[in-house]
Amino acid sequence: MSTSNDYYSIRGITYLMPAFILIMAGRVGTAALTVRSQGGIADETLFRSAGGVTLALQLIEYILGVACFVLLYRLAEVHGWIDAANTMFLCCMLSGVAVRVAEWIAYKLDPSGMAEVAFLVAGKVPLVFIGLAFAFFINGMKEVYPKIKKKGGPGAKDFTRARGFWTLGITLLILAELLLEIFILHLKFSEVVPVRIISFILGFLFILCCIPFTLRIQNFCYEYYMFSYNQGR
Amino acid sequence: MDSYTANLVYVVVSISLSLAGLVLAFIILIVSYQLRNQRVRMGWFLAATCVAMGGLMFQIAELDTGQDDGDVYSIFSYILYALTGPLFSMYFIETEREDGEMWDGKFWSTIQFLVAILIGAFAIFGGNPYLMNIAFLAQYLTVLIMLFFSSKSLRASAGFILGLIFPIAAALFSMAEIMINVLGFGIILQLLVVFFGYQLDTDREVLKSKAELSEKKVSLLMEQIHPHFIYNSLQQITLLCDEDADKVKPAILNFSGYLRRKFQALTGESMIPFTEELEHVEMYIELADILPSRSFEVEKHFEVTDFKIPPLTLQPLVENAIQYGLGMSEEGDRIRIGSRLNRGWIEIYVEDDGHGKKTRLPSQKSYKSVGTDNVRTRLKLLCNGELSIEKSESGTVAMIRIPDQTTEKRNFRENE
Repeated sequence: MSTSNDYYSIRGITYLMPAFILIMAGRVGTAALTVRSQGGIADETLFRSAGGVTLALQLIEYILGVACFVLLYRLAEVHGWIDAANTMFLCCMLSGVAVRVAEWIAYKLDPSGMAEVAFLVAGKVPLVFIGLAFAFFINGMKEVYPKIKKKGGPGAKDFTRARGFWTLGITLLILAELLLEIFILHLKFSEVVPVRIISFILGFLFILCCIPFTLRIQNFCYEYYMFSYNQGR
Repeated sequence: MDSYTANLVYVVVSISLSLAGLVLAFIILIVSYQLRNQRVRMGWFLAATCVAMGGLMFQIAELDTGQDDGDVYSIFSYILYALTGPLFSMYFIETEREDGEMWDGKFWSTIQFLVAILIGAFAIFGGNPYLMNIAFLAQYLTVLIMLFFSSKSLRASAGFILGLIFPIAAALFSMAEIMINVLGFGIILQLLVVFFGYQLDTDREVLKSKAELSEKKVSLLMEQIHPHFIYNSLQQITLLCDEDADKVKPAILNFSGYLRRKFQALTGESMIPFTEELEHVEMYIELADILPSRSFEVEKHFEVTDFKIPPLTLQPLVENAIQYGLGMSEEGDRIRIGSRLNRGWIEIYVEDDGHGKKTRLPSQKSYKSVGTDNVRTRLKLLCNGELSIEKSESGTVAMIRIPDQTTEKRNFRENE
């Protein structure tokens, strides 16, 4: 906490991280709906879908991602793990942009569909970085909390549990995204297997898993703010 | 050139510029992320770079998806470019704040955000591209006006102006040649110039001032440990054992507390609550009271105490008032210590009614005060504060002024 304005970051992160998670889940959820109604989530399909909600969520997710990255950058001095989470966010942004641009260009050069297959896994790299970022952030909170020594606050076990829930949640989300893409590539299967129900259930479980994590963030940020204020930092 | 060839040229030029912009954005992001000294201002800078990078990304998608479908990505890229302006302004305002200027920046940032909303509305509702580019021009001209009102040196201003030329030229070019959108490339070039032309220099200065602060800490350590004061105090406590044994215990407690505070303050690296510094002052006054010096009275009037201050800033001033203001002449017997809020500043004053500038006493040495110089430097480096010392016929007034940042913190706690 080297600067006097860091309480803005602490306050901002309590709202931005949960919002980011919800938008991320929302994007996957609406993509599943688009698959149902339009038969795919390629750009052309998204433009034609009602309102282009998935596209709008892409933009909001990007902006929220930038905000989370910047706030974590300002809080990185709190602990090494939080610094690592910040670096993961940077990697996520850079890899996200690189993969998407490469995908668009490759798709332009090879519109036959091979590009989609090539970027099926590469497209999930940013999501893996996001998963790591949040896991590192939880680890940071777990390490810092004993120093705050707040009686009645959550113990190390609560953070370990939150980290477990988060790991499960992000795995489910990645699975949901992969499933969606695989079903889009083989649309015939989507008639046999209920894609949207599977995606919905996975998305719902993801949000459920995120609840303990987001509550921990809110508690931690408030306690840390009070701690740093009382320490005279 | 037929229309097909012309379109092809436009697409190739646009994609090439966007890709070049993306590569530059990657470089700026990776290099600027390494700077860890001025996190608040660098946070705004990183945000501006990321947002511009997103705009370039969507611009490439716009070119990829064709004329009709690309509209949505085009809107996204315009929205993100529009956000870059306010974020850059916040960075600029932060550079002023960190340089000690009292800019709250609300007026300028509001203008910028309003223009950004206007551009977003133009983009979403299919407004005239000329008007959109005029709005972009307005955003960057606002930064130029801010630069005019700022306290930047000629060199720093030149760096900013050089950077601002690119988005302004890009907006003008986009108005002339509507098929080629070079706005994103212009914004990235601006960020590049500002980063390498201004930010890196200030970062070096911060490192230099940190080194200076460390040196000051060492000199403070050497200066603040007055062997004579320690010997005198111990000697006086020994005398108290014979004269008034009841006073010995509190005197020893005071003395140890005083030393402990002093060493804590010297080893700590950050600001402390004002109340802690006041406790230190109290201990010093009580200790000074048992020493064989002139008697004096202390009046206290604190209108505000809920703020932070660099350690060992008020205590040396009180020490000076007792030792030099009153201690070296027969005049005066009163010291006033207080704090008040004054137009966004917190003022802490130490007044004595000693000899002031009436006479130069034989005991006064004509050397530059290392103590007050040290206090002044640490106030400047740690909280953008100032110290002024005025000597008059009626005594000496030492005044510390630091920016008031407590109101926002109180709001935070109340909201929570």
